[in-house]
Amino acid sequence: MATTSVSGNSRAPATAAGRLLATAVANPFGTLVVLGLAYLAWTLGLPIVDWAFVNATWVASDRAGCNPDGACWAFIVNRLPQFAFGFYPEAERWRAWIVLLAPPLLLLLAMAPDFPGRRRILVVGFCLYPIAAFVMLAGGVLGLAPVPSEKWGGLLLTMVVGLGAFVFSFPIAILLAIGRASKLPAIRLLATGFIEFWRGMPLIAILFMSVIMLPLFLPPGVEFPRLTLAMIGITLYSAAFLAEVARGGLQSVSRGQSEAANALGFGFWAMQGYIVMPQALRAVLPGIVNSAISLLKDTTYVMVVGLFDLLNIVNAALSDPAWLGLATEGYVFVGLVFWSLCFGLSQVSARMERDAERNQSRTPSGERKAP
Amino acid sequence: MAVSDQDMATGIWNAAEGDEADARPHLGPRQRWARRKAILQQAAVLLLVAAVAVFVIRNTVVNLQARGLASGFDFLRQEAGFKMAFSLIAIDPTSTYGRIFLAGLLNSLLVAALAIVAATMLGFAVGLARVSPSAPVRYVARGYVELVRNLPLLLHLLLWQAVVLRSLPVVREAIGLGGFAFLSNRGLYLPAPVAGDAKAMVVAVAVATGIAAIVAGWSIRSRAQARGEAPPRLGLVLAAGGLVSNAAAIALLDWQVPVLAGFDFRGGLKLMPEFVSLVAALTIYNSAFVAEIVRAGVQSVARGQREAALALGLPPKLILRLVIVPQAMRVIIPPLANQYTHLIKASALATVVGFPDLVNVFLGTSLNQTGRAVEIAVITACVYLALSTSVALATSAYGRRVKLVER
Repeated sequence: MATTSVSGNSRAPATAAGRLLATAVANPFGTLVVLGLAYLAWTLGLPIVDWAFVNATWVASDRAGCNPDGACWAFIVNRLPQFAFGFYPEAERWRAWIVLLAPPLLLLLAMAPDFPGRRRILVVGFCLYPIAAFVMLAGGVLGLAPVPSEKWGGLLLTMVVGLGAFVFSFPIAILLAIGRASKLPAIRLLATGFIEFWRGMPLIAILFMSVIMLPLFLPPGVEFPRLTLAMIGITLYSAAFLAEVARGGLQSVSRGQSEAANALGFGFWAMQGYIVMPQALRAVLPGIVNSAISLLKDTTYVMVVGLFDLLNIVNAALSDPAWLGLATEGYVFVGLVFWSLCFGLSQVSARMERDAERNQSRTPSGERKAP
Repeated sequence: MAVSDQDMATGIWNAAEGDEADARPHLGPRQRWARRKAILQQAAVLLLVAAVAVFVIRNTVVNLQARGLASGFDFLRQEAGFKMAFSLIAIDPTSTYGRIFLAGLLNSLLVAALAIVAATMLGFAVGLARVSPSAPVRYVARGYVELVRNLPLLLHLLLWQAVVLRSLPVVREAIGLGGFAFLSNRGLYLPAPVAGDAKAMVVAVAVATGIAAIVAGWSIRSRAQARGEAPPRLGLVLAAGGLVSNAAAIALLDWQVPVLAGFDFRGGLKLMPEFVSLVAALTIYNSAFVAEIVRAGVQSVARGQREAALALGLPPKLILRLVIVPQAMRVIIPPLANQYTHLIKASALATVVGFPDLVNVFLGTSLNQTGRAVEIAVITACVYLALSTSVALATSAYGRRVKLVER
């Protein structure tokens, strides 16, 4: 902003220190802020380091065994299996491990160098994941012992709810986006109304309602577990937001594309599936990842309907009499897990955005739509 | 409908086929088929939706009867029989569900309004810091944004609730803030005015005129500054007069300072810890998003604008205020309004910490007590839809106005 013109008498090249000084003088407010923050970091940061690392206890059997001056990470270490899997029975944990590790493995595959069929494996893998995970965890088929969904919890539940809602909401979102862009007024109206309803409601209220209202809507005698009810609510909520993202993508595809497809004799669905949607979704890929990030963070709301996701299971563990008063440790742990997941995903989205920009500026026709 | 000769002629052409497409005589057989197909498709979809609706309604009626639940909106006039821990209008056990609904709605709006104002101010500060010329300031702002926005809002809330507020001292050892306000683990105690009706009117008028004078003075000054003239004395006088009038009005009130009496403070205004942590969490979480919106807006202003302003000799502070921000606002407002909608909806998290907002007292307690699930869900949905629709309408109105100015 304020580039001070250093009077041009001396031509000596500015040293780093000199430039720093010039910036500091030019921008006294900024300098003040920096000095204040440095002081704060010094006075606050040292005790935090002391607490989190120097005086921390990693191994102990209860609160009393922890150094009271430092963090009691032993609480987290002792409870780690529970935080990961909830109350999933010990003998069947291998199933939970598979479900928990499948998405990271698929992601690794996505990062790996290309080989024939990789894309198909990825798409099929992610699409089948929710159903496969559900079957794997619930059991009752293929000789797997049944485990009721009330026992699922922790990071496992966060993963199942988050990824499940995301994958299920995707086709709904695409249909809604196509519907909202449709020329048929009845369909456009229905899609718009649906999207605006689910976007306008707070997720908390949606969850409450799906647990209270959905059983009323179902035929008498049909009962779903809470997890399913909550999943339905989150899926529709997420579908409405994704539909808006997809709509943005649809708008970015020039009309010539669909007209060309029509001229070549493509039917409506073939045109959408082969020509329009691939371009539309690629254009809004960062937006899709951002929706996934918000969805991941929003899965914590299932706490209000009594499901034990990662945040709620830590929250519940805080009232264990052997480990009282460790809220800070518990929340810092949850925070680290969520932060790394969300930050990682946001870096992916930022990279996609940069790549897209580079590709776009390389296109010769220069057909760029204003955002 | 007036029919021209030409239409008559083509009408005769089409009469042989004898169908309703006569109104649009230029349609060929293909287009007519397309039209019919469109109508059929819409009818099919509508029929499907209607079938689902009938199915759901029938199930609901059967289920409600099976559970012996009453229906109707008459419960709004029944006594609720519970109290609310915090409300802007008086609530006692004889209050009706209708009044409980109103109190809950007001609480939700209060939380949302406070958090919107605070998050906007904090977010603008951080967002402008994100594009600051000083690199360390930029890094610190970036760190803040990345730290805050990658944590779930609910975690922010629980952290505030558990860690920050519980680590505050008990009431007896409350932290005094200048001897007027006190902070303890039971909440924030603020001095509150107690005034008779007549006095309150006088004070309200004085404050209103004071604020008007300050605003008028400020705008006169900044307009003169924008034109490069010396600021006229009138602006200064107006602003100073406004300040004096406000100060006098505030001093005129009888302020009731909270006083420690027994186990709690008496007098003044007590903000419960749930309220404080809710507003704090909403503010901080949303400020990170507002900051990113502001940054994107400022960066969307073409660099030539700043350079031209510099070349014209405008001081940096004025460049930001007169050149950058007004143009950035065009980009900032739509996503900002979106963020406000998010915030309003997120204020329903109050339920988790037990602050009596609309969802908590209405969709929670009232529904449990009356069992009117459908009615209460419909009312709650309508309230939130009305809120988000009004934000959307305001934004699109603003968008239209800005567009007109631009072209």
